Amino acid sequence: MRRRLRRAAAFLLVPLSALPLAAVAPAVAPSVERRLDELRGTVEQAAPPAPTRTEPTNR
Amino acid sequence: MADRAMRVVAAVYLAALLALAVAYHGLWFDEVAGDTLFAVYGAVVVSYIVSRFLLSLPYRPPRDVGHEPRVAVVMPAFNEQRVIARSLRSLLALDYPVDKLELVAVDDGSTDATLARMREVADESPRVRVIELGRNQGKRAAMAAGIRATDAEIVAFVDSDSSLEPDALRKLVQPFAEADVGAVCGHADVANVDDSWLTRMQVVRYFVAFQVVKAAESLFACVTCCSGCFSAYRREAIVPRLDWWEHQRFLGAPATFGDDRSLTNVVLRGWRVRYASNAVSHTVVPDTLRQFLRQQLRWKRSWTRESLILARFVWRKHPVAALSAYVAIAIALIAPVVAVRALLWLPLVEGRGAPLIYVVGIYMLAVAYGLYYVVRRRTYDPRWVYGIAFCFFYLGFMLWQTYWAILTARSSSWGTRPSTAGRQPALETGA
Repeated sequence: MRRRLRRAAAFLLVPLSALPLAAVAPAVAPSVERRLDELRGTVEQAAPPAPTRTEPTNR
Repeated sequence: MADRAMRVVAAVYLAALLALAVAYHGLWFDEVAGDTLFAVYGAVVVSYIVSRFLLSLPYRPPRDVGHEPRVAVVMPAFNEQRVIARSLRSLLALDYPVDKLELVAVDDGSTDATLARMREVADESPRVRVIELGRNQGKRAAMAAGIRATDAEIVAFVDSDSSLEPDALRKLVQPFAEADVGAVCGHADVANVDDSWLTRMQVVRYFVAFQVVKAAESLFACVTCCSGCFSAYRREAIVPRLDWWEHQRFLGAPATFGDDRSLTNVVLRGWRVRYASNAVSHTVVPDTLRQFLRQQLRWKRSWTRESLILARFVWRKHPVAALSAYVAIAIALIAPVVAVRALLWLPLVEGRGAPLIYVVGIYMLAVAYGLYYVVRRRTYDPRWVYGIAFCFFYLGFMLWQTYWAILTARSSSWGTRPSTAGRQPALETGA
């Protein structure tokens, strides 16, 4: 019985090794999403800064 | 059945992992390409690693063509009283015609009971010849004495802490049926697998070093290091340079270790060198951190010296083999710089970069090596997980040894034994 359990635990190592990758996924996913949007060209460009007023004020 | 299922699961996971890595890399391709060092290094490393795996796939162990040359098996030993008798007995059990096989044990001035153990085995079987060097002269002197003591066409070397499968020698000599093969490297498995976490970590490393790297090199008959554990040489290929090799010097100091890589270079210059994955030896690997790190430092020092020699002639070999050899040297030299840049310099000094991505990349590579190990073995071995630990161990400790090894490449110090000429390694796989 114990041997079987150990063998089963050993076999679990393969799927378990994906855990660290799954753990960092939330840290990586947002940047992937952003990047995909960029590549699709759907990301909204930030509005350019308002030009500095150079004309004389109307007094 | 369960083992087979596990191999399939591992293969699917490996494929998914590789696809993920390619897709992720593709997303940031133009960003990565903007950073010259990362772009070039990344492309070269990935190409090199993938090429090793791909080139190892068509590799097949040499077929038994019934070749039976006269062979002398030389086993040099220095202070190996614990294992020498067992190793010599494994030679006596070899399945090879007795009239074509000489067994030569060379005692390199041991201060323990090694010589007595050799004589015990020789008393049991007159087939074992014992040569005494008297005083400790070094492994090369012991090996050279063994070569000079015989006139066999093929000389095989077995480390004193390695034992052979009964059919190992027969399989090792088959490639010599080709007249232009000058040396053949046998396969080495870890014998003391469960001695410690460190020995378990070395299992996947040995697998990759032999079944992947040497198999890939063998495709072009250009194996760059015939492991000291178990290898054979054509007498004609080594005798002309035997004196030079025995007394090799580097930057004015005697080259006392790296005998295997050095002898391979001697042969590779003018002959073909192959790997026989079915000629299996079992070797004892270091089980303590101190012993292991010193062994690795020695290997890196001899790698430094022999890479300089290899680089001068390997361009004459097959273009793929030559390119691989130069790339392997370049990667080893640049890897520590890239690690510092990715993990420390970019995030701490320049305030950019993504060290997490670098570490995840290392993890994925380690898992890929481990899964490949699972896929290639008939039975499922959970020790593959230690291979993951090894990659981080490599990043934490061994990567940094490269420059220290280069700076101290002239050193002839063994590191773990008193500083005399004969502190030669029983373990020189030169990986």
